[in-house]
Amino acid sequence: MTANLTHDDAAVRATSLTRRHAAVREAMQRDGIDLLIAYGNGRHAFTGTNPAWYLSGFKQLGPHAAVLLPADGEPVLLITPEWDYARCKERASMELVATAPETRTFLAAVASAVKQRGWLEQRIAVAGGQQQEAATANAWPDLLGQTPLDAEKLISDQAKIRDDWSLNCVRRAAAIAEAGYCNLLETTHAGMREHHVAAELEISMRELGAEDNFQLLSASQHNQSGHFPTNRILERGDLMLAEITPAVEGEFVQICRSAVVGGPSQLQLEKFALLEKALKAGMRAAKPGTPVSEIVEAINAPIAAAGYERYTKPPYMRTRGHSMGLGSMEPEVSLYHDHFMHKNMVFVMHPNQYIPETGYLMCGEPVIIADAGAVPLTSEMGSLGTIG
Amino acid sequence: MISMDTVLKRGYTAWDEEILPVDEFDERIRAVREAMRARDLDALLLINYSMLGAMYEYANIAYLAGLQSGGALVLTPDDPPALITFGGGRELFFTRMQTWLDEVLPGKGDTYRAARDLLAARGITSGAIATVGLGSMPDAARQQLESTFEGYRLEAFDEVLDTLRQSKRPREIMTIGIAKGIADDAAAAAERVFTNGGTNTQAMIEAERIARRAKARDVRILANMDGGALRPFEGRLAGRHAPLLLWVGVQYQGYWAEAAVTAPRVERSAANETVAAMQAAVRSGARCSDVAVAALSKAPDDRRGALLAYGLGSAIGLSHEDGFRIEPESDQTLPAGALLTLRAVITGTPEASIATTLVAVTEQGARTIEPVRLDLS
Repeated sequence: MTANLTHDDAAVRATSLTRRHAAVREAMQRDGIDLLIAYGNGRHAFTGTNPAWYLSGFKQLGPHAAVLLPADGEPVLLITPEWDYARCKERASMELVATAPETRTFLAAVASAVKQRGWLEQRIAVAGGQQQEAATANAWPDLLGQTPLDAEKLISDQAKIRDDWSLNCVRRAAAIAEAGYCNLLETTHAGMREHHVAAELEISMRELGAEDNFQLLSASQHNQSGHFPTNRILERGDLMLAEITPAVEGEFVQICRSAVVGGPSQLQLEKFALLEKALKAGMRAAKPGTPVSEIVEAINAPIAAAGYERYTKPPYMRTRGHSMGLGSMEPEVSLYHDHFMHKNMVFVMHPNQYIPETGYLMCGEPVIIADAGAVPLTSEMGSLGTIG
Repeated sequence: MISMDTVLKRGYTAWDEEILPVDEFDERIRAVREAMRARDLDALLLINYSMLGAMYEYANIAYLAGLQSGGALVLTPDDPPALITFGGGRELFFTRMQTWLDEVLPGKGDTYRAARDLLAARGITSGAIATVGLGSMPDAARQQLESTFEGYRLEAFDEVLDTLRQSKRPREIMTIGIAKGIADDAAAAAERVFTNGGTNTQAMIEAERIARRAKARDVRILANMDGGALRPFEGRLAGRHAPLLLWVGVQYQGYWAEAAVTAPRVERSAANETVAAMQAAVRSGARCSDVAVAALSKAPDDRRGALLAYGLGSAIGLSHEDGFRIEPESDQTLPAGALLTLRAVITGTPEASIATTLVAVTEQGARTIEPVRLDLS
């Protein structure tokens, strides 16, 4: 058994990692790349990807990690810090080098590994997940004796369509998110502070096995937007907004929920139903091959028809959906992106926005793209909930 | 301490004004203006390039604005400082709730242009601009900024600000003391869980619960499992592995502190003795290497590797490693007024133990900073 994984999970993970390496190598061959350096900066934010984690299946502890994947030959994983070697070794699927965390030391170890294996003269590409520090990004040309090709898209194109391991993780994360929210509805009451609610939600998901979690959790009688928890004391009539985003093995899944302390009003129910309608329209439109702009239009149409067209744009909303991918930031469901739907893409679709009569409302599901459109990964889609 | 960075930070996010009131920030601004005047600088442009919520390196912007988010802080000699965000406006109301600054403006896609326009509106159309944060910007973004500010002379001010931040102000010490109290309470909670028969993982979870309820914005916890080495929380690992070695790092109002626990407790543990040896070597003007040598001189060979790999400590404040580390090769001298976290992690030996302490550097030696516990609800 691989540490921290069941036997079955370990087998799925191993098969998927093998598939990822093969698919990436095929793309490397197409693009004339001999060696890929898949780098991870250890800041596990879903505002960027972590190519090293995607290709190694290992969540790094330190500030640097890289998988060196040659077109032919065995890959190497370099991690930081050196004292994390044992944890990595338990899960390693490739040769492992552990080094000190300082940028200079790590880069020297990469250079040494590349040189030792005779890869220095070959055509090299780097994927850094758009999160490399300037000191790292700027070091590659001198280090490698060439300006490496940019392999961000190469990795993203493989990762945006989820494989068995990724789907295994997102399904677990979706179940944790739902259970965490159920727990929140049961345990939250007027008189609690926002950050206490957030702490208990966080911990309930940790107990369910989420290794990390992102959340916006806030309440107001009239929300401008969702935000991080403050000292606010909940009171009857407060509408709580929650973006709940647990991670399992680096795969984040987000549910967006709204609930009212003491129960929702008829007006709130009506406006929430409007966003529900918009979400379902977006899900129906999200068939393979559909551009994200068409999904945005499908979501916006019922909201605009209800007289809220001006509120379908920033600053009253941000985006209609987005990936939080370990290996890909596609899709971003906005008019300003040219992404397309693909079967087995996973992302959160959320017509979260401000409505003048009720304030900001959240209504969003993690979905997977199937032939007939987007299918929720949750067992039950969100409704306007009641607290206390 | 290397600790696993969590996703976008999401804990307690509010400005506790009773802890860091406006006059505290006024004093910091006054000191910066004085340093600018001494260098004939006409304005300050401080860039925090991190995206909203990313909050990785926020020390400088937090020092002057109290914020941990991205944007450009503009400071001119006479007008109040202003912040221009990278965002388009949706988050602006929340940003304003977290800062003492009156002027918080949306960058609307071109933050640098907005900053230049603001300078022009304040009558500064040429001259020398102090800059902070340009070194950590990606090349393309930095070039865009430099091109936007063509006609001005940009002078790096990072080191000046770093020096100003090095010696901690009384309210900073109090805030770090509060963070220390949160960290200590979290470690104590973990110890209770373990002592009552809980697993190492349950101890980690309880520590996090206590820290988050006590207003920590960011919480990092590492504990040993079966292999002895410290690990982050990984979801499914279970079991009880004695002794428990657990480390907690917490951030409150931007300020960091750490705590550690060995359970069952060991009287005069090897880690405690190592920390005490370091503490005895601390005084202003001493070198970081002197402190490191004090730790290593008492350690048998088999302990030194772990001590060095986990780190012996560092300056601490608005970042967990706030300027310099305690390392045998360091020629850095300890400045008076700096706060240090001193740490010893000893794994894989019968003396396995972990210890930390928080001290202020003074001419007379190390002064222990006690945890502060206020009713902050």
